[in-house]
Amino acid sequence: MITVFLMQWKRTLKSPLLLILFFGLTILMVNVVAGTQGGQKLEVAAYSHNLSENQIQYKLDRLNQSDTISIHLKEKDQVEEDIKMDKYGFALVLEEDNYQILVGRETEQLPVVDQYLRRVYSEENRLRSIQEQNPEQVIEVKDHLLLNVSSLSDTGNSIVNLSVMLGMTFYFTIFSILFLMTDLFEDKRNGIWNRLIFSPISKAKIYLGHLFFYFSLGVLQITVLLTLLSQMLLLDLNINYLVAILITLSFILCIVSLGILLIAMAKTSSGLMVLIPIVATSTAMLGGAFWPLQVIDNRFLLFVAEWMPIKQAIYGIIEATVQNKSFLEAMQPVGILLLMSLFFMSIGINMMERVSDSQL
Amino acid sequence: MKELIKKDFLLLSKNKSELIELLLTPFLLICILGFALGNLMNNSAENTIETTIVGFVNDQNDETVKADFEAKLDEENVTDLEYQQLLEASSELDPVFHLKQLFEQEEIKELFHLKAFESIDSAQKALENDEIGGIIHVPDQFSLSVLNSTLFGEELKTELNVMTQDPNQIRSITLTSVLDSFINEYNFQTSIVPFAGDTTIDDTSRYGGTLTVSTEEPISAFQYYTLGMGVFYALSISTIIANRSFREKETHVFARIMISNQSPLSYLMSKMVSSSLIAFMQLSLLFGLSNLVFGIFSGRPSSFWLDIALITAIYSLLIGSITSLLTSISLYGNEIKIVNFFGSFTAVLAFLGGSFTPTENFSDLIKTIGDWTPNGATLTSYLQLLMGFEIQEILPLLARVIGMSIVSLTVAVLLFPKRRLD
Repeated sequence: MITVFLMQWKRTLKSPLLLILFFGLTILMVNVVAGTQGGQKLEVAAYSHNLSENQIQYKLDRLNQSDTISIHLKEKDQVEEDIKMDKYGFALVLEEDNYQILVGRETEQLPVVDQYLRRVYSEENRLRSIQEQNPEQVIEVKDHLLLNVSSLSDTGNSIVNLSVMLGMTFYFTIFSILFLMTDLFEDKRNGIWNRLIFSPISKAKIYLGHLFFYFSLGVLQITVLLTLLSQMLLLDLNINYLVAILITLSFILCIVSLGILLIAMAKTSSGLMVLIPIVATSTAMLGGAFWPLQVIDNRFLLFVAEWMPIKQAIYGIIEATVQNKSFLEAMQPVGILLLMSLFFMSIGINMMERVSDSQL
Repeated sequence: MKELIKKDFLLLSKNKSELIELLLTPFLLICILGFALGNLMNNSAENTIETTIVGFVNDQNDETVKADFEAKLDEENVTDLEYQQLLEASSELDPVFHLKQLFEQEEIKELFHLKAFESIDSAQKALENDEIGGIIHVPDQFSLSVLNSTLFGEELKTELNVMTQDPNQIRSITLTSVLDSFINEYNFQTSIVPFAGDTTIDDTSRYGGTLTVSTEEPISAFQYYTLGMGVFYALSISTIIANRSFREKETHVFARIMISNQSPLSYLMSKMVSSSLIAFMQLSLLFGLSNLVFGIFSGRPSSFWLDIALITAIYSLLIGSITSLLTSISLYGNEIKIVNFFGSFTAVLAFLGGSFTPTENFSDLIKTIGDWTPNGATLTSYLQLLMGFEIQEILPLLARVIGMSIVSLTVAVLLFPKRRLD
């Protein structure tokens, strides 16, 4: 087993260009993911036709009192160009006692921003009309009633970012591990696989050796990705590292096993290339890698999500971080992922053996 | 060359499952998306939102509020006239009364249904068991405390408590924002009472009109994802066709074609044309089916369809050029791994070009790079077309796409091994 494992590494190191490209791509991906983690506030661009500089400044000060929305001024031409280039979906046009929204693309933030502005403007306007009736008094709005919001599982904003970060990382890892595994087809075609089978090593050891090779590549990649990312983003999260590492390891194992199953199913390497994006993208979408699963109301889809390895990995880590789970409870995703690996691998190897029999 | 293209298509049609997967996957992904995020993306009225049951826990005794407030008034030194006025004001300003009224309103009734619970513990249990979607908890002495604050300016002692399962759920967001605007309105109205007297000030002006950058309606999220998924998935055609070309070289098909006195370049061109054709077919199927099933481009004039076909054709040519580039590189280096590598690279391109998530949260640098990726530039061109820009105004972006194809095609021709036949 170790011989097979070392042989694979030696072959990889013989053509270092690919390894360099592989890690170059990983580092590029780190930058992409880091670039998606914008500020905590929702940035909204605004411009005005007819307000003086003082008036605009007053409006901006009034509007920027919110914790979640940050409005900044831009030139009209710039805003229109940005919306045309889809740098953001919408922008505000500020007026004295009203506002308008320039929309290129509807986003989920649009209603939130609209509601916020409507409230502030309405309050300002009504306050002004009362102030005009009572010029000598100082009128201001006081908080007589306050709202205290809490929730059972508080996935704060940083956690949502964590889930996006993990989602992108894991999705990318699925892609790269599976594409690397297409090499197994080359081995079969070149006769290397047959030579291995004819050698006195047992079949199990050959499979395990290959498995651990791809597993080690995956571990290397995820380690590089997450280490660099946590350094760049200065994530200050109370992550349960032991659980996170165990979940990640079992996730990689699960993906490698899935790779074996796909290889057995695809029969040709171009067939595998058709399958990889389908499997990777649809499981990632169903498993909530691109958006938080909490926004989905459909019970059937939530049920399907449970069967996606990427869901188990992402939400396993997040739940271990957020909820105070006991170690055993937090390890549940590990068990599920290992079971899935076993399932994928046993079917995969079984099918692979049958196919190779008929081909030879 | 015609024969070579015909051969590619014949070979592809031999493997029906692969062809079907290749052509229909983007539509499959769009269907998943439609089911997963359907109610999130269509805020239209036809989409009926389920009524959420909200637990209502009232720890204060509504009957005694009045008596308690009277006791409070006795403590304060007020004249009889003030006494009457304040008592009247207190019943008008009672926050719990207004809160209950809020949930009697028709539009709120459609969203939430209040269900009374005895204690906070039993409500919390129901929330954990997913029987209810949220809890509104009125603590003891709540109304009195709020009234004291409103009428005597005393410090506020209690808060209205809201509990949800998870703050990211749609129903949690809706519940919190409904209560949030209720509280803002309450604070506003009570703050101006001393000045405005009994007349409540209503604001009937219409706020926040929607402007568009061009002639058309804003782009919906569903349209965005359909286009994004389409341009991303078309990229994988390049890896698949390039992989097949390399296989042809290995199985000596390429050598046999060369012997039949075809020029090597016409072989390369045939790869480009056939993958462009497949990309065009794939994207047309995606847009056509999405329009039939989900009506994403319904009501657009035929000139719009011509323009979208034009952009699709230009993008398909780019896919063809990338295919020929990958073919050249893999034949030049006699190494198929480079093609596989491009396969994982498409995942990065997808994020850069905003195929999965709109780029608005991204840093400016990433956005700029994104508009120079094949899928990103094309996606933005489609979006501009949807916003209602004329094709002339989209030309700068399309020029980028065309430029990228010219560059990759040139490199492909330069790299393509013209003599070696092994």
